[in-house]
Amino acid sequence: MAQVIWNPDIDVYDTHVIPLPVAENIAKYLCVQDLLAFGEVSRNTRKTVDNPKLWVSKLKEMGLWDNAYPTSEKRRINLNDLNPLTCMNEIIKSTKAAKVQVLKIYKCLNSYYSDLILHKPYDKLNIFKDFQTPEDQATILTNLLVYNRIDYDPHSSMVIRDKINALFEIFENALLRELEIHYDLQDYAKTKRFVKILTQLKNEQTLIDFFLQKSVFDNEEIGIFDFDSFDPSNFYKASSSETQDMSFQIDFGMFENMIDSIANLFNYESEIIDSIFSQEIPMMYKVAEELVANRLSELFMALIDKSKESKLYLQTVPYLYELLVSRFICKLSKSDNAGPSYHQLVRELVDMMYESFVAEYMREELLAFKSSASHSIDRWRESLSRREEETSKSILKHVKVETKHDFLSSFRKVFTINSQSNNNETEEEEKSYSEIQAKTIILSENLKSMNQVLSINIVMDILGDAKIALQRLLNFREYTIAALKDDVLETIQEVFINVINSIGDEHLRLGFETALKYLQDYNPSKIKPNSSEKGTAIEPLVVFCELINMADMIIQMIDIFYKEEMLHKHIIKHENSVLNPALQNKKKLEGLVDTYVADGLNVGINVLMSEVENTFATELKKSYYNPPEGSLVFDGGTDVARKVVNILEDNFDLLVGCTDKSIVEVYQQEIAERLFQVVVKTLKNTTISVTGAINLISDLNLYYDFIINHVKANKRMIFPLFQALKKVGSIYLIDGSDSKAIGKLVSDLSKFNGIFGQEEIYEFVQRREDWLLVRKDVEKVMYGLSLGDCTII
Amino acid sequence: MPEPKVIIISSDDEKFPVDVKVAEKSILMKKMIEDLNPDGLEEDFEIPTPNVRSTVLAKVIEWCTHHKNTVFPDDDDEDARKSAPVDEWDKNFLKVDQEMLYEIILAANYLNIRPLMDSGCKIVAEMIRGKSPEELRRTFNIVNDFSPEEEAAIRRENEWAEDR
Repeated sequence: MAQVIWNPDIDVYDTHVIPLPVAENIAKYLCVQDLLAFGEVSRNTRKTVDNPKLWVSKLKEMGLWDNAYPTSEKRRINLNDLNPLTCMNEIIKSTKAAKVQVLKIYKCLNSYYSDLILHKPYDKLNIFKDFQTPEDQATILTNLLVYNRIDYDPHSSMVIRDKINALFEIFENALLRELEIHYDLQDYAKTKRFVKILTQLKNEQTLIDFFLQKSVFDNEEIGIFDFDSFDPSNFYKASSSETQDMSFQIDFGMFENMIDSIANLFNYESEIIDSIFSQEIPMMYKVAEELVANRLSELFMALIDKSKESKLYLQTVPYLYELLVSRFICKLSKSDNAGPSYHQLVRELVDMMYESFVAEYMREELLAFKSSASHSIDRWRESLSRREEETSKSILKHVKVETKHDFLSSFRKVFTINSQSNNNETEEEEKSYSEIQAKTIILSENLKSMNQVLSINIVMDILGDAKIALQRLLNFREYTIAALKDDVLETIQEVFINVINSIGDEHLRLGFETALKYLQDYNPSKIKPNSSEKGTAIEPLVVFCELINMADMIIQMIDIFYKEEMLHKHIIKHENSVLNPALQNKKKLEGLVDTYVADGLNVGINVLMSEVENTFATELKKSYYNPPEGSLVFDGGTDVARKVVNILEDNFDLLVGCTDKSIVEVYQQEIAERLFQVVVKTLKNTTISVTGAINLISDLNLYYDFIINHVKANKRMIFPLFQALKKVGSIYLIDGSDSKAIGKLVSDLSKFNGIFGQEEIYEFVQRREDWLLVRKDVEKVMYGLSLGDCTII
Repeated sequence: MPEPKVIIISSDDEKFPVDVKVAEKSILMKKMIEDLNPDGLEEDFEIPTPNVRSTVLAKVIEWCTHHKNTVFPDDDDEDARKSAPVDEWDKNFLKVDQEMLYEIILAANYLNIRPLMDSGCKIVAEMIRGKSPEELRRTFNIVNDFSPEEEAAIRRENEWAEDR
C-alpha cells in the first residue's frame, strides 16, 4: 500500500500515493469519531480532515445548513454552552466554523447516541435519566434522529434509527394518553401542553383524528345528532283542519331552534379548540367539515325527505338554506383556530354539502311550476268549455221540443205528402227557422263570451306562481359554487320561458284561435234580429277589440314581470343579446300576438264590411235615388247612408289606443278602401234620377265627411277616392236636357282625380235614369259621334 | 459484420476487447469514444491506459461488465450515494488484498468510474471505522510525520470533542 496519502509534488497517478480526491472521498464515509482518529494519523490525513467542505456537508446532511444564521449577523459560537437540547438551534452559516460546530454537536449528543446502541431497557436509557419533562424528551429524541443522519455505519445507523422511531412511538402514545386524560378532565391548559409537544413531533394527523373522535364521533348520539330520537315529522305541523286531507306547515320555531343548537355546538367546539390548538393545526376546519359534510347532511336529508311527504318540499329546501346562510353563519362566533376566513369557510362547506339538495330542488321547482301552470290553464279551459256547453244546452232546451215536433212532422209529411204538402212546407219553414235562430243565439252567446277566452286572472296566477318560484330560487343566487350559481340563473330563465310558453302557447294562442273561429262563423244576416236591437256596433268586432286590449295587457304584464323580476334583479347577464333566451321568447310571444291581431282584424274587417254591404243590399230602396216625381227628398243623406256611417263610426275607432298605432292605421285604411269599393259597387247597381241625385250627393258627402273626420293617416291615399265619388255624383245632377254638358263632364277624366277610367265613368253614366234619352248626345261628346249618327248612304 | 469493439490496452500491453456499453461505464473512455467518433463507432477503437496494470484492468473490466445495465444514482445526488450501503456483489468483488483494492480505487478514480470508486472508498472507510490513530498507521502502513507539539495540539482538540 501507498506510503503516504496525497502529496502535491507527486504525479497524479502513483500507486504509492493516495490522491487527494480519493482521500476526501474516503473521508466522506467516516463518522465524526473516525474522522478525529483519521486526522491524528499523519499531516496529510490531517489536511484531508480539516477540509471545511467536509464539515459543511455534514451540516447540510443534518438539514441545519440551509436555515443557519448568515455570518453577516455576527453571532458568536459559545463553546461553553453545551446543552444537548439547544445544540442544533444556533448554527451559523460559516464555512470556517463548520468543523467546530459539528464537533460541538458531536460532543453534546454522541454519548446519548451511542447509549442507544446498547441493549438497555428503555427506562434505563440516559436520555430518560437526564431529561424528565416530555418537552425535553421530545426535543432530545428529535435531535438524536437528526444526528443519526451523519452516522455512516450502515449497521449502527439502521439499528439506532429504528430504536429512536420505536421510542417515538411509545413516547407519542404516552403523550396521547396524557392528552386524553387531561382532555377528559377538561383541563385544557394541560391538554394544550401535550398538543404542543405532539405538534412539535409532527403528529398533526394523530391529533386531528383524536379530537374528531372526541368531539364528533364519541358524541354521535348526543343532542341534535341523536338520530334515534330525532323525528323529522316534528318539524311539520299538521294544520288543524277537519277536512280529510291533511295539510302541513313548516314549524319555523323548530327549524330555528335546530339551527341555533347547531350554531351553539359549533361555538362550543370552537371555544375548546381555541384553548387547545394553535393555528398550525386546522382543527376547527376539520371539525366543521366533519359536522357539515357528514352530520348535517344526514340530518337535512331526513328533514328534506320528510318535507316531501308533507308536500312542503319546495318551501323547505330554500327555507332551510336561507336559515343556514343567514341565521347559522351569523350566529357563529369567531374562531382563532380557523382564522378570519372562518365564516366564509363554513359557508363554503355548507354550500358543498347542500349542492345535491339544490340541484334536485331546482329540477323539482321547474317541474312543479310547469305542471301547476298548465294545470291551472287546463282547469280554466275546462270550466270555460263547460260553461259554453251549458249555455248552448239551455238555449237548445227551448228548441228541443220543437225539434221533436219537427222530427214528427217530417214523419207526418211522409204520410200526408200528397194531400197537405203546401201547408206543411210553410210549417216546417217556421220550425227550422226557430232552430236556426237558436243556433244564432248560441253563436251570439259565444261571441259574448269571446272576451272570456283570455283571462287576466289566470295570467296573474301564473305570474304569481312564477314570482314565488323565482324568489325561492333566488335564495341560492349567492352560492359559492360557481357552476351551481349558473344553474340557478339558468333555472330562473327556464321558469320565465315556461311562463311565456304557458301563457303564449296554451293560453293566448288557443284563445285567439277560438275567437277567430267565432268571428269567422259570424254571419251578420243571420244575427240580424239580435244585432238590430243593439245598435250598429258590430258586436264580435267590439268583443275582438276587447280581446286585443286584453292580450296587450297580458303582454305588458309579462313585460313588467320581465323587467321587475329579471332585469332589475340582475338575473339576465346579457340584456340585449341574442344569447338571452328569456328576451328571445318574450319577443316571440309579442310577435305571436301581433300575428293573431292582424288575422283577427282581417276577419273583423270582413265582418264589418259584409255588414255594410248587407245594409246596402237590404235597405237601399229603389226610390231613394230614383224617387217618384216630387216625393222623398232626404235631408242630409238617406237613412241607409246614415246607418252605414253609424256602423262605421261605431267600429272605426275601436282599436285606437289598444294596439300598435301602425296596426290601427292599416285597419282604418283598409276599411276606407273597402267602403269605397262597396259604394262603387252599389252605384253600379242603382238607377239614379236627377232628383235622386240630390239624395245620392248628400250620401256621398256623408261618406266623405266621415272619412275626412276619422282617417288620420295615409290621407293622401284615401281622400282622393271619396273626392272622386263626389264628382261621380254630379254626373247625375245635370239635367237630361243639357246632355252635352254631361258628355263634357264625363269625358274629362281629370275631374275624377284619375281614380276612375273611361270605362268606369261610362258605366256610371249609364246608371242615369234617362240614359236612353241622353245617350246619343253624351256619346257624341265622348266619342265625337254616336251610333245614331251613322247612316248608311 | 460483428459490432466494433473498444480495445483497452493495459500498461503491460495486454489488449482487452470489450463492448462499447462496457467501456462507457468509464466516463473518461465514454468521452474519448464520443469525441473521436462523433458518428458512432464504425471500427474497433483502441484506448491505451498506460497507468493500469493488466491484472487491475481485468478486475475493472469485470466490474464494468457486471454493471453494464445497472442504473446508478446521479453523481450530484450526494445523499443517495452516501447513504446507499455497499452493493453485496461489489463487497464480494472487492474482497481482495489491500494493494489490489487500492489500485482498483486509483484506476476507478483515473478512469472516472464513480460507482466503483464509491464502493471502494466505502470499504476503506469500513476498515478505518472504530480504529485508533496508531491502529490506522499500522493497518495502512502510514508513517507518523507530526512533530510532538503538533501531535499534542491535535490530541487536545480531539479530547475536547471526545470528553463528555
